[in-house]
Amino acid sequence: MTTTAQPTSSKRVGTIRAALVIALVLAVLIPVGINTAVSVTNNITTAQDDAFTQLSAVAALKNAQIENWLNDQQTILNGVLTDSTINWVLPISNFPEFTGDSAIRLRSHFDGFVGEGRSFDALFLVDREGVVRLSTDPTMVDQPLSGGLDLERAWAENMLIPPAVDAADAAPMITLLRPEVDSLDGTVLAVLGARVSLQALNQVLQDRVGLGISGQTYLVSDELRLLTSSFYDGYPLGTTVNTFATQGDADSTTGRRGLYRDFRDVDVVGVSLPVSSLNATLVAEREQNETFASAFQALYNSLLLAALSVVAAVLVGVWLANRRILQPLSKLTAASRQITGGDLNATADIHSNDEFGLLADTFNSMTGQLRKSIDTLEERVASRTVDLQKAQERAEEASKAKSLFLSNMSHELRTPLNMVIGYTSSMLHMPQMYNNQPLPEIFRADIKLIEENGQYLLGLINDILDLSKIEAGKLTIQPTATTVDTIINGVIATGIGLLKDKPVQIRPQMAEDLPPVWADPMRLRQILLNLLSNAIKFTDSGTISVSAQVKDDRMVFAVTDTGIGIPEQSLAVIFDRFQQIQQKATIQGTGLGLDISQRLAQLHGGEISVESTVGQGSRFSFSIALASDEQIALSHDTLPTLQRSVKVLRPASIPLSEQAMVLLLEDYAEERTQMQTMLEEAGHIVVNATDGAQALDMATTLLPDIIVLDALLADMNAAEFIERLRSNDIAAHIPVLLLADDLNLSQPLSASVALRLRKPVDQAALMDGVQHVLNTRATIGA
Amino acid sequence: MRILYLEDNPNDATLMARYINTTPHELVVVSTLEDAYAVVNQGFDLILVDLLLGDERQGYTFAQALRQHLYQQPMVAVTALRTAEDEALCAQLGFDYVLPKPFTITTLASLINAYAA
Repeated sequence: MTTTAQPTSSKRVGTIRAALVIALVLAVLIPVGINTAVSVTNNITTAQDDAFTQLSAVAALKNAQIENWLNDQQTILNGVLTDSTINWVLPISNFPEFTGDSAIRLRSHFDGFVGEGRSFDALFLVDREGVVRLSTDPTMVDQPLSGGLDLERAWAENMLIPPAVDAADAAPMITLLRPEVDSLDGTVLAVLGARVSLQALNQVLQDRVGLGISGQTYLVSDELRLLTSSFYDGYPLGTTVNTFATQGDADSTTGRRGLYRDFRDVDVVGVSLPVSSLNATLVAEREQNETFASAFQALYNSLLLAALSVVAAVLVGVWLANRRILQPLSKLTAASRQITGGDLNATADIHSNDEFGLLADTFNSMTGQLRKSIDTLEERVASRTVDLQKAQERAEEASKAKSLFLSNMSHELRTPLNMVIGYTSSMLHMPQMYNNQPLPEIFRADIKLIEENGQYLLGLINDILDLSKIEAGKLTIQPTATTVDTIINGVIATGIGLLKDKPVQIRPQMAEDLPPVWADPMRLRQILLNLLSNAIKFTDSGTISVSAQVKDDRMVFAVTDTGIGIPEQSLAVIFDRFQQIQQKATIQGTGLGLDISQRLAQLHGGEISVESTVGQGSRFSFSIALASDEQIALSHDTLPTLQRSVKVLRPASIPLSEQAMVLLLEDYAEERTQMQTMLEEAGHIVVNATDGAQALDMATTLLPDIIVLDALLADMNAAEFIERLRSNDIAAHIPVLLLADDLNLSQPLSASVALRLRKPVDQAALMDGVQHVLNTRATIGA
Repeated sequence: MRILYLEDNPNDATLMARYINTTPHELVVVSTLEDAYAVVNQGFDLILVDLLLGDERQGYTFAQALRQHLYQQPMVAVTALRTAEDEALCAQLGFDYVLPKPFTITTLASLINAYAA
């Protein structure tokens, strides 16, 4: 199972992995981050504190060195004038000009303290008026001492005048003053002053002990001027220094300390101490870069460690997730897919001791259970299938046995029936088989009854056989283009035979030139005959009509009677097998006929429907499709090699060209049947009529070739019938063969009657007569 | 017309003989397949065959054998077998016609007349 085939699931796996990575990164980053932040903060604080301590110490030390230096300078100044030399100063107060020997000597003495490599920049004496009387710097002589000298204080004690620097690049100087006292009387003779360059302090301040690489110490005047050289080039003496270190009042002991920008605009850690004797501030600074370098290094290390930890955690986590979660998951997924695909033998191959192992075990046992269930199910299905097959085989055997039984029974019933029907028909119709002895009339009715019941029994057997064919699905029809009027006339002729002496008229209702239908003629006849015989059974008097009517592309057949009718509640069940409306005790039948007719109609694409009113009659109708032009052509092309029923057999005793339609008008049923049989045996088509009015109807609709007329009619005499026939526009030409007994035979042959025969007539005479009339007609016609 | 009738039911054979005797035709009745084969070449104009001899449909065998030997004369099945299969088989094996039992004597007469013409 490839992952490319399942893009959605691989996407899902990726999501889990990403979530795991994020979770692991967070899990590692949060503590490491906090730890790093705390330790870096600690490091920075520690480094800052260390820096402050160091710088404070350095500042304090240098402050002390400055004080020492100042004291040293004061001490040197104190030693300038000794007991032996002090006298040289005496004249200063007594003479307006201090130019005598004393002055010269003193001046020379002073020179030994001044200049390069000496202590002072200048030595001088100031008188009581504050005017410089003697100086190594000639520019000072006779000038008042600049710098706002407090004469009274200078006369009383040693003084230090702080440097006055007001321009860049000025050499900062301090002035030390000492009152010189007459050793004899203790009066102050003059003030000895020394101008001292602060350059000497540079050495002290630039000592780098405790300052690291970037540190420096320097003095800044209260006027914010740089008093000593900077460690860094480009910042000459007198440069303005206005920083955190020089702003505000620094505590005299601890000073100020802080992180800030120095005069170079560089971030520094700084400590400043006031040097009050110099009116200046001592600043000790070190760059923050250097100060916090170790802390930043530690931060960098921590960050590197954190990054490494994250990478390591992610790698380990993803590896573990892959191994412990994703691989088991994909194995489970693959197994699920295989099972979904129908491979129930698929298992999830996971042997870890964690939840996935447990899940896989459960999953596998579930699959196993499922497999077992399905196997069981399949076994059951297979077993059921075998059962069903056996049952089906049994059913088929039973069906075969039933068919065989029916066919055997049919055969076995028909065989004895052949004797009944064969001999009764022989006795009734074939006297030559009995040495031409006529059947005694006393037996005729009974033998006829035997024959009729034999035929009835045969009909039942045929119905049962049809039914078994229907049930076996073997009832088929062989449709052909079928002419309707022939069939309807045939059916009516047979129906008249069934009427016996019932006062019922059977009439066809159909237009001329009806188009053929696509039907099996034998089966169509069977349907119509069944409907008609039903109508006859349930109609005691009145009229039964058999109609055919074209409606759209179908032919609607209907049999309408004036019989007892069917109750509404029975209409729905009359097509059910074995149903028969038991209103008439004399009705015979199995009730199979209508069911079979319905099946036959359905095989023709129709459906028999019924309308009925109790006491008024019923109408059974169905429709069959008209034969198409192709079907008509087809029917003409292929003639069936085997005619399937003797009923449609065309006996060859007369040529087909001489076959005629005979309208037989005879109200006595027995004679009608005899003559019908004779005519049909000869190959003619016989249409029966039982009274004159009916015969006139049929003559105009069917236009028979000949009318065979019994002279004695119930409703009108023969002459009246012939007269009405001749006055009919359509049927006037039809020749009439009149059957008459001796009494009537004497009447002259009317021009309206083609031939007159004496009753009773035998077959040969009847055939000869009919043939004669037909031939005459043909001759006349020619 | 000479008619051969293969029929094992003596009653049916008798009925047939009774009728044919009233006509100018000549009837030979045989009751087994062997007898039928023995006489079939004696110039019959029509052969009537009962399909079911005993319990076997030997009539089919007979008709098939005759048609396979290019026998040309008309053959008519006279039978009480009326199943759809039998009807189809009759057509297939070369019968010209089926006369179903039972039949009326007039039907039989029509058939004989038809073939005599």
